[in-house]
Amino acid sequence: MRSPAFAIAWEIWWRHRAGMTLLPCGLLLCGFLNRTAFRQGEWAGFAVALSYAVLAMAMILTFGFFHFTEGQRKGGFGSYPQRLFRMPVPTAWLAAWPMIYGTAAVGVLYLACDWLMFVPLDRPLPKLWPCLYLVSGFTLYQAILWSFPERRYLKLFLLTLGAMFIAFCWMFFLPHMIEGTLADWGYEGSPKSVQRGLLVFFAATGPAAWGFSWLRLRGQRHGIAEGVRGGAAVIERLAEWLPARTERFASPDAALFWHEWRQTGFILPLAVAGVLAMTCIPSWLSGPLTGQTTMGLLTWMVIAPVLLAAIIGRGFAKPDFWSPQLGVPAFIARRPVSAGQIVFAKLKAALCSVSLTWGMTGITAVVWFAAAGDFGGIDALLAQGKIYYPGGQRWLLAGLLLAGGMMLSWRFLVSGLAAGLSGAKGWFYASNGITAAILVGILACFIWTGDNDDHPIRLYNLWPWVEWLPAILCGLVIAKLATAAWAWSRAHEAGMVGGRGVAGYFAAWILAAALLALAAGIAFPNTPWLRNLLWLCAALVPPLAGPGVALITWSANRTGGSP
Amino acid sequence: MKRFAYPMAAALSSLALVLAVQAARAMPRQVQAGKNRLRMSIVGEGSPTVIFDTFGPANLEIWNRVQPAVSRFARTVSYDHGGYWGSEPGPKPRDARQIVRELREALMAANLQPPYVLVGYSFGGPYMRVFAGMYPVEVAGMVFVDPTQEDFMVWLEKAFPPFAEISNRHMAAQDEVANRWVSMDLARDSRLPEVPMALITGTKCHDQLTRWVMPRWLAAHKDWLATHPHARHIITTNSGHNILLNEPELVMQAIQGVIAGRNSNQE
Repeated sequence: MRSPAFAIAWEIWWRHRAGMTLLPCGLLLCGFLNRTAFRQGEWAGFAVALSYAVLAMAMILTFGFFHFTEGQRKGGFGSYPQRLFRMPVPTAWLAAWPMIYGTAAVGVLYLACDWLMFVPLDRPLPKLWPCLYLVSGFTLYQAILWSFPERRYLKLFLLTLGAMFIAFCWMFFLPHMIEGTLADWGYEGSPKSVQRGLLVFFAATGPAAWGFSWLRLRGQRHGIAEGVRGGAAVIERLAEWLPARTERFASPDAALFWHEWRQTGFILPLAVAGVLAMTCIPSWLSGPLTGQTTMGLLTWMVIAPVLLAAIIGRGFAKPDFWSPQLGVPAFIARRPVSAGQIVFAKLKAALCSVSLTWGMTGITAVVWFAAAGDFGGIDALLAQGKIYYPGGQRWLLAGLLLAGGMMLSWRFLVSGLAAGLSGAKGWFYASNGITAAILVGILACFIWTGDNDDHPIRLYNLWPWVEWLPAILCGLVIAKLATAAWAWSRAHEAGMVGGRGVAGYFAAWILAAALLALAAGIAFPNTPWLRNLLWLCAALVPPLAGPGVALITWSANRTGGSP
Repeated sequence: MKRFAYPMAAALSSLALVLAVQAARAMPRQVQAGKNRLRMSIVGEGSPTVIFDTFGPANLEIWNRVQPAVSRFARTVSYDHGGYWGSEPGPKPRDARQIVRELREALMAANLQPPYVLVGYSFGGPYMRVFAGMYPVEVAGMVFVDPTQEDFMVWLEKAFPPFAEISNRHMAAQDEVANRWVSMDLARDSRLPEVPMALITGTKCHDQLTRWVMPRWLAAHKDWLATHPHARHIITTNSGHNILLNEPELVMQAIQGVIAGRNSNQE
């Protein structure tokens, strides 16, 4: 390589060349569609919403391409690549080049999205402050990732805190937020002066993040021992007080579950805790809320675990959450346990993770509601409920819906197991791509319907498609059952799982589907078509075929065969 | 394992198939009503055809506790108004005459021939009166379920002016809400045929507001019935305005009574 700058640039490109090629192609395609098909007419509104969703996804991908970290002992969510410390290059430049490339990419991408997708729709984006925000956010992101090697939870905590802060400050640049949410929270000051202050602050953030990263990387490069100080010291001392496991595991299953739980079990609860903190603390500090805002925030608290489970589930599906590799880790591969034991350990860990998350969400929601919420909205909801459902039924339905939310979270968390455990990159990334496309679609529809009252997503436009739902859902259920029968039978014949395990899982699946069906039956007792469709959905929500196929793909991955 | 898994999958697949077929049969269909299509639920057999109607923003599923019961002895039709739920927007202005015209075109398109028993709930009452005024020979009976009366609305407008205000959004859309006063004028001017009629008033009060307006609401119903002496007045103390949800059997009995009255008149 001619220079360190070129070497670092080449490394970033080579590692993410496929994504970096596809991303501009996708943007060009969106831009082309916005300039031609979507420019006018009833789909223009949808195109704007879709463009926002694509912009968000493009930014997430760019942050992913340019974070410039490498797995240490614990895998991909690592730190600055330590092998580069051997290069005869000053640490300041080692920190600077990836930051420069990343900030340039983020800024250029934002401007390109604006020019390609938003300008043709006559909805140009503001330039200065979003660029500054994104650039400073990116440098902070890199600084956090590089500065605390081996401290994944501290990184998650700091990233959440940073995202909270940036999201909160972002509101001061949006007129409808200043007049709406911020005014609701009691803000009456001058947004101009706040905006100026924020711009100066974020302009200073980039150099500060670089300086901090330089110091931290220098410490890592020269082997300067990281002293445990301040908050981290308190946490470590507290951790020493926690009971440590000293006794032997009762069974290999218990050991596997413990390993899986320690490795991935806390990720969803922590992520949801971050979202809850972002939601509850500002709204609690801001004073009295309206009934509508309270209901909106409560709804968000209920949606967050499901949404985050869908995202975290992508990583959860891999043999090792923290590793970019899809191969079976040697630690697991060598253990004398069956595929069934491993897959069941994952399913159990996911269930515990979801239970902890929902328990925490429930307690937080109740405490927050009592402290800061307005009872108007919930009173109106209860009054509506009283009209449609008598006493006991109402509470049973509420409980079943809560169980349904938990089940949906669990379903999303384990939905990618078959692809993730297969070791087949193509399959895994295709399944992730489909999930991402669905999430972008939902996000776009959400923005669109919230933004515009007159759009084609109206029931009357969708009804001809709705009429196909019985056939589609029935086909999906039959396909699922057939695949499940084949996969579990084959797994059983190959000795991957015992007969009791299969029967137990089938029984659990029937119970889960029956609970969801009961909720649908109570909710819509007099609308047979809707009730029946929901019954078919109830059969689709709890996973049945996926874990069965996961047993087979895992075995193939472990033995090096093709799934 | 194969002996367990495959039969179970086959049994559950059969169940899924049955559920899907039932859902497909029970699903409302879109029926052409001139320029737009209306989502209609047609259940049951026999004559006369019972037509259920209410204000546009409510969907046809509001009749779900009444329609299955009535469909045991008559053909029944419920539908969404144009521009709401599963029905495409129709021509403007969206006043009672336009709503009724679309309904009738949809009935013809669905090959549902008269006579009709018209059942109007809440603001569906004025709409059904306009229907009866426009097509009197096609109407065999009428049932009004806690209908909105124009005299009551005039009183409410004076007593509580914000209620009469129509928001800019509705005015811009020129929807049914924006045209509600026009629709009530059309209902007032409609001459109804001499057919069996029943009017149900729900008098149960659940808050201060309903306690305040109830005497006027009841008086408005009684005043209107005074001009139609052959109509039967059913007053229930077990329901407020939500009679369809709380006492569907009462509505069903009223419809049954109107059909029986029509049959005895014919004999």
